[in-house]
Amino acid sequence: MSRWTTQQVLDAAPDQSSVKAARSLARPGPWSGTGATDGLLWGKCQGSGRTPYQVSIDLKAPAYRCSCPSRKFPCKHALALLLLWAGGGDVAEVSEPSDFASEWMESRSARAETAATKVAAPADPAARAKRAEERVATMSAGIEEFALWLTDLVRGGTAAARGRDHAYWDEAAARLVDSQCPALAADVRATASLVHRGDDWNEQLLRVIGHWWLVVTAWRRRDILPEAHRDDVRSALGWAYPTDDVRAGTTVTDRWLVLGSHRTDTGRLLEQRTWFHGLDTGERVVVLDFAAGGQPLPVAQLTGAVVRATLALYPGSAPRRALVVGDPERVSAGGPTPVAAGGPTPGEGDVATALRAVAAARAESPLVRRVPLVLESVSLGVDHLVDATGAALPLVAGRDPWPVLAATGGRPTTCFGEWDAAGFRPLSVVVDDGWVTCG
Amino acid sequence: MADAVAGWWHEVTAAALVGTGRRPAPALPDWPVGARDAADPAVALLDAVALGSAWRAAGVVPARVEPPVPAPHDDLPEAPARARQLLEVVLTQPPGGPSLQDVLVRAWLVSAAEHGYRLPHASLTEVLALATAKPHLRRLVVPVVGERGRWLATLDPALRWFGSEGLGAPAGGDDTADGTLLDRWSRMGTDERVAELTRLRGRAQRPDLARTLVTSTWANDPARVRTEVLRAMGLGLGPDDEPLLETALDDRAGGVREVATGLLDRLPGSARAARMGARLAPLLSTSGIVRRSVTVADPDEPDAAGVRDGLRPPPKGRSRGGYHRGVIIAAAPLDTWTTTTGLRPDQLFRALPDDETRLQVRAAVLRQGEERLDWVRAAFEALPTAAFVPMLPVAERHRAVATLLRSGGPLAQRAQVLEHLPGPWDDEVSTLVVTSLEGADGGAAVLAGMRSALAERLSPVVADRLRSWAARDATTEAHARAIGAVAATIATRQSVHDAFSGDHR
Repeated sequence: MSRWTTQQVLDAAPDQSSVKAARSLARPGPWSGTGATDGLLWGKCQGSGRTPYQVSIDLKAPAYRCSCPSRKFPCKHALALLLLWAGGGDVAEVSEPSDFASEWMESRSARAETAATKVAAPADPAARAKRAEERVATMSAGIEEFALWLTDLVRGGTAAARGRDHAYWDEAAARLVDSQCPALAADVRATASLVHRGDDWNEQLLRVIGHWWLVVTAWRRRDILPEAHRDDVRSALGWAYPTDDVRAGTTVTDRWLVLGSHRTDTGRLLEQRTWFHGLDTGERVVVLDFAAGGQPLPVAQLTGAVVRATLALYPGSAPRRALVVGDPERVSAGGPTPVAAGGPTPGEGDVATALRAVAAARAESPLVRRVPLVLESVSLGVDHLVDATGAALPLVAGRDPWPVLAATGGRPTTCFGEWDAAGFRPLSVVVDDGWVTCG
Repeated sequence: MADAVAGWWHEVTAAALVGTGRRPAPALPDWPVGARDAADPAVALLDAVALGSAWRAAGVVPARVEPPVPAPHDDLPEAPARARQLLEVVLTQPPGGPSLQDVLVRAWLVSAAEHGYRLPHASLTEVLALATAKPHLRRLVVPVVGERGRWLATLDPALRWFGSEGLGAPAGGDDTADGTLLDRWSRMGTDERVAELTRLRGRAQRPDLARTLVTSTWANDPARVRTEVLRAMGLGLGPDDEPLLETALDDRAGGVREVATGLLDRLPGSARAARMGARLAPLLSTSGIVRRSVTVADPDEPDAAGVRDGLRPPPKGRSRGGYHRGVIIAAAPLDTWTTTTGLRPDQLFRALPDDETRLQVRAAVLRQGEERLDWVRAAFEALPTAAFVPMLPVAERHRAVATLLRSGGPLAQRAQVLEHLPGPWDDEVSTLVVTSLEGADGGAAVLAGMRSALAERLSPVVADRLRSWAARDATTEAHARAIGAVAATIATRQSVHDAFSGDHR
């Protein structure tokens, strides 16, 4: 297992104060008995108490354990040890973990096995079908109620809806949660603040309402929809697919170029989207990771790296969501992969071509939200990107534009990002023949 | 076709805004998309909204925008790989902890500028943000940002400080720029003027331009402004400033007169110093042959000229004679003492009758002794104080520091000498400092209190000593940590230095 970069460590931190505390501990002084094997990192940290804290980190999962009383995961001691190690600090590479670290690993794998047997318990197909039927009934009732709420909304007008307080949206969202439509509920909740943002709030609100109404009417007609569209509707409502089903479905093995990733924090939930491009198959997929309750997200894949992995595809239209099966194997050794090594750039080309790809994706399925685009020879500015022909795309608001400007200097380059209704979000650019994160 | 749809969509949004209760959805345009007829106007509108937004989302057309003006190609080479790595470490996890991060950032920036390198593009925004938050870094950041950084500064409103951090007007001066400055000066507030004078008299090295500015509005400025701008002229004071100060002696405002006499005390070649010398000489008398002693008599009641030169009524609780004697000693040229008594400076200090007079003469040496090494040495010998250290030749500073560190009194007070000793310290001084601190009671606490200055100035040769001290120190955990942090910081400073000089181009 190669050493993490400092950025990977920082991404694993639950909050800024942990980072701050960890930095002050990330020096050899307080540490003793540190060591690392292929997948495990451990050490003892002398705190204010008499007994040093014992820290163990499973680098693969990743998972953290520390004998300190902190409720944060990872705690400052684990972060500090990671920082020390990532910074090339003096951590002995040995083959055998220390006692406390190996004990922990054993108990962890024992638990994982128990969990695995639980999952493996034979499912009763009849009971499963019955549960699904019940769920469909609950959802249908909730969706019809939501349809009524929507007709009331447009009967009264969007201006009036804008004047309502948060509770108006929150209550509708809560009813959708009760009806087991969590993704739609999250959309509705987010709209409460959308209507107070910007001059084009009515346009934005109608876009969202249009999407909801599409979902509602598509659900009513689900029996006659093509399978992929049915799956799109199911995802839009938030009916999750059991990962075992996904693993048992279509899988693609390829050398995957990590195009870029983006993290969002809704306050309740951390989400990480990572886009992969299959160098041999040309398949482009997104892997979603979630974390809640102060748990860390998995370490982000290094942008520009090429990994050999098998990805299982979720049902639905392109771009498909996927999950990684097994351990991906880094093909390129550390650091950003030279673009040339990734084969021909998997690009859409200029802005006009990219927008044709967007149109095609939306025509395929109007429920597609984000379309991944690799644009070539585009100059990134503060709020637009412009291609060689002078055609431009607006960049999404609320991002920090300066790091990518510092990296590109406003010169034409290849840029990967997501296009959605709000604009283009650059996620990585090619600088000096290597992919770098846009930050 | 597109126009028809756009017009229809406009109608849809208008209907949605007020609600179908008041305004029904418009009829669909004539397009090849099948749509159902809905009886309920609200449902008809929702259908239209779903259809229209899907159409619009799929049919985005590119905007036309002027491409950004690209950054010029960088003139300086990027910092070497090892230096870039160290910068990342310093920015993300400074080895001496967050409180000593600035020391290392400064060391990196100074080394980069010295060797003609620029910041890597990948660290630019982070370092510029640091300089935005910490103005003292800006002066060091500006020379190493390269073309890319200058380009960013023209775009990012948060970097507005960048332009004003320019290196001042070019030497020799640009007449038109000076002309505008003269024009702007009259409209500047007091704070702005003081800042401008500080810039001109300091880094920009344009003391004459500063004086021109001050005199241009002097006659019309209110007393408060005159006081403040005159005080600001204290920086870079020189003989050319005498006429302005001489004028200020006749100022209506007492505050202005007081600042003027204070500044004239620092100009031993001035007419006012000569007048004070003439007042001091008759007060001095010598006696004894083997052990000479010098006495200083109290001056008589001053005449009008004396009052103008600063012989004002004494503060409450002080005798007029004693007070005026002090004012005269402070202002008279040091040479008055030697020519009148025939004694060398070192002999004079031994011959003075009391500590009060010795301290007054020492104060005069501190103000006037810039070029008078015999006086500085004699005064330091007689009454050592840290303020003399920078006035001594570099070769003599070690001994002076050693003297001060070994002299009596509280360690914390003695350690103040270190603040007056500009870095970087060589191996000898560094070893001496660490030895003195380590050997004294409370040395760890003193070190902890001065960790920034020490981390910035100590030579890396003492890093190992500090580490073993940190391991041994039994006072408190915080002290041991501080010692360790200083050790780590000076070692990293050395690494930064090596990274730039080692594989230089």
